[in-house]
Amino acid sequence: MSAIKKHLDTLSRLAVLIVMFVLLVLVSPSFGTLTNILNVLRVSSLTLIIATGIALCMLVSGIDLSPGATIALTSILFGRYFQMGHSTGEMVFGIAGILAVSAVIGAANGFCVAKLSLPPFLATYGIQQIVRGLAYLLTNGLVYSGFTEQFKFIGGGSILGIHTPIIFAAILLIIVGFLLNKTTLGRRIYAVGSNRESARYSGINVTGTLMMSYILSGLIAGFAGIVYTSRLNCAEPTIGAEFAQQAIAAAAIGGISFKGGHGNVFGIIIGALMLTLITNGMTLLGIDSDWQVGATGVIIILAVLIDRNTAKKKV
Amino acid sequence: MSDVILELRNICKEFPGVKALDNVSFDLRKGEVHVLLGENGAGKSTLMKVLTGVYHPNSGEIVLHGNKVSFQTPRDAQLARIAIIFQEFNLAPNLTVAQNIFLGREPKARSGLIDRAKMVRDAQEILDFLKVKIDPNAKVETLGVAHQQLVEVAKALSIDSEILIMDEPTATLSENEISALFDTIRNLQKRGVSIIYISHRMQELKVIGNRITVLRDGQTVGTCEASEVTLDELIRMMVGREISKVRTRTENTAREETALEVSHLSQGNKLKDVSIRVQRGEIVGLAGLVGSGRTELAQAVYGITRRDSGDISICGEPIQNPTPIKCIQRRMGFISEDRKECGLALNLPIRVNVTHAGLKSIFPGGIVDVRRERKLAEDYRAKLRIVTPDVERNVVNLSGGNQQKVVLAKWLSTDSAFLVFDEPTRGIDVGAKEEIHNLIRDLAVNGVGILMISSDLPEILTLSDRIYVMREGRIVHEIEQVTSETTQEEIIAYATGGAEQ
Ligand SMILES: Nc1ncnc2c1ncn2[C@@H]1O[C@H](COP(=O)(O)OP(=O)(O)OP(=O)(O)O)[C@@H](O)[C@H]1O
Ligand SMILES: [Mg+2]
Repeated sequence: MSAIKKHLDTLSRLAVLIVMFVLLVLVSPSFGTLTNILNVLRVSSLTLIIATGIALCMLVSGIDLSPGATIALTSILFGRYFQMGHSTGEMVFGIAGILAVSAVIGAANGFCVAKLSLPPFLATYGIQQIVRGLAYLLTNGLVYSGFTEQFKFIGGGSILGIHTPIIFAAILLIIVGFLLNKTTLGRRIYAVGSNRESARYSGINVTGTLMMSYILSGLIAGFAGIVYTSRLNCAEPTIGAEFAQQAIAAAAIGGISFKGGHGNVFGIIIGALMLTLITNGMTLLGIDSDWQVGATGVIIILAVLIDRNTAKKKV
Repeated sequence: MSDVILELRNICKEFPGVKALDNVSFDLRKGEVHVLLGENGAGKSTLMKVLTGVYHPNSGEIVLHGNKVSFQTPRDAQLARIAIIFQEFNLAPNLTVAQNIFLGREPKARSGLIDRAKMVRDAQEILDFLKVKIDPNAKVETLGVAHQQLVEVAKALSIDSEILIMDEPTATLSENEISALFDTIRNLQKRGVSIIYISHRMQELKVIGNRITVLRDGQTVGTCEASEVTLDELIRMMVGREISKVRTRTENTAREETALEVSHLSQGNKLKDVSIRVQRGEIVGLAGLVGSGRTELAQAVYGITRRDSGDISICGEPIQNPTPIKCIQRRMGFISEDRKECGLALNLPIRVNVTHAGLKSIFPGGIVDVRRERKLAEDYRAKLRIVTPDVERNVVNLSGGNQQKVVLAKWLSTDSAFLVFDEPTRGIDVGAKEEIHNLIRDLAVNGVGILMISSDLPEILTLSDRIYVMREGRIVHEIEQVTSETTQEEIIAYATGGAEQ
């Protein structure tokens, strides 16, 4: 009983998601096919991965606007440097290198927020500009393409019929879910996000916790970059422009509070799925793509409003 | 005197899983001070929030001057000339004292703009009336809890109200401010203002109250004339069981090892050449008026603020630039008086809050054993009698006194060797207070050194082995051995400077 109450928030969101799904199936039976469901999951998975990282920053009452740029830089780095040879060893080395670079980007965000006390929005906006600028500089005006089959498998393959990005997203969510619920780092993240001053009085390393959240978000963005580059099978400095926005919307719809300290991984999943269902549903309904963009905005605002009103009623 | 101006009839209010008010009735006469008494979580604050439109009752009615009313928002209540001082403050931290006092009701000049000069002057007038020395231009965030409390009082007084509700106004105040507050209350009474007064400081009730209504578990136990009832009777009415006996001071369990040694510590004009010492196993009281530097001393030791000069050593280890993390490594803990800002993550469950200060020591591997965490929370819930349907509740939904118990649980569950308690029983009811006192004694017996800051002199006297008295940033007196002969007057004399004249 108390378990239900505790998750009321998440459950009510899940209910909305299910209702959306059922409505879509009723309107367009092709929606319910396994192929389409897998497609929805595949499309959601990248947003989901990025949203998970950003959510870690939102939980410490911050934000991370840089993932899109990190993805672009990642893809250029891979295209230009790390695919040099074509051996498995080199690919693994390349991936490790990219994760290291993205961790550094995360650390730069964290440094600006935690050590220099800059507002997270501005700090990560600045960093994302720098990172994207780097991507342009390193591109040399070329588009890189033609990766190895092995590399293409990372983002474009499937295991037992399930697309690899879905599998990666699932593994990541399990890891982050564990981190948030079952580790002291998770406790610190919620504590800092909920009340920074009381966290400091409790002897929690506030600076370290903030740094850690941003580094993890950076790492996750770098990982998303690898998956995305592999799926696109090409590297360009312009990619990923809307990723951060989309992921933030997914996290927010899923109940990760901008004030920090509130929300969980289930919420992120539900948020990302809702976002995809909206676009996917409109396509299936044959709505003109020019109309879709604006309609998505309207639906997002409605979703947040409904959510806020149900949250209020609980008091 | 006996015309009833306000009546609450059969009020019921439920929260998920909690019946906070169950058929409560209450009436208020013109010009009286009506005390509302009850244990932590009895429903006092909830009743007042129902009255002022913060919460809407599930059933029951509010009758003001013979008319049924229903306030949708606290603003409506204000328009009906009902002012309230909430237990949990409602101040805007980055606005000034004057801006806070007149928030939303700023005096306007003829131009239609805010008349700042008048606002500051009016604020100063009210503060003078309360005999408090606070700069109306100071930002509220720079004030200690007691001064914030007084700003809340000033804010309520600035509203020309007919009914004034005070929810634990004295929980952090010391004798001086309390007597000024009581003078103010009596003045208001003469002007026909009716006051609803909530407090856990039993000795105040008969001094200031005309009538007393007791609540227990959300129900009215009864109303009586303050002059016709004894404190023991009141306690029995509110607790409904025997409360644990006041244990007399056990032997001083002080040991050889030093828990805290501070020498010649100075900081701006707040602390001047302060030297104190606390042995492990010893309870040392730190008395003084509000603003005498007690909290500032603790904050300097804990590394919240930087000292200008002086040496600090914790558990025998000198510490150059203290930070909370370094202090906790040396097994010190600091229970702040400001539970809302510094003590609790209000939007997280009780279970999670309880382990915040001890994360490293309770879960050394970095992995949280949720079952153990829940067990710990349940243990303290039973031990401190935290009123809640379960430990998964967010702390924000607890009553004030129960929130305070969570702060205590958080620090009691660490393995500290030296603890500073700043107003440990702020807002705690009589029964639970005894239990907390016993817990503090047990800590001392087990070798924990304790420095206790408290404005509650009886508390200082019953618990302390030794007492320091502070005034204006200095230690002005040390009572080396507290005996049954030690009196409150002795402390007050030094705290106010009366002893030197
Ligand atoms: N917003 C809320 N949501 C859920 N439960 C609540 C809420 N506010 C109060 N309660 C519950 O209602 C009961 C009464 O609380 P209330 O704050 O009125 O107590 P109180 O008499 O003021 O206690 P205290 O002396 O500790 O201040 C408590 O059990 C509390 O947990
Ligand atoms: Mg209360």
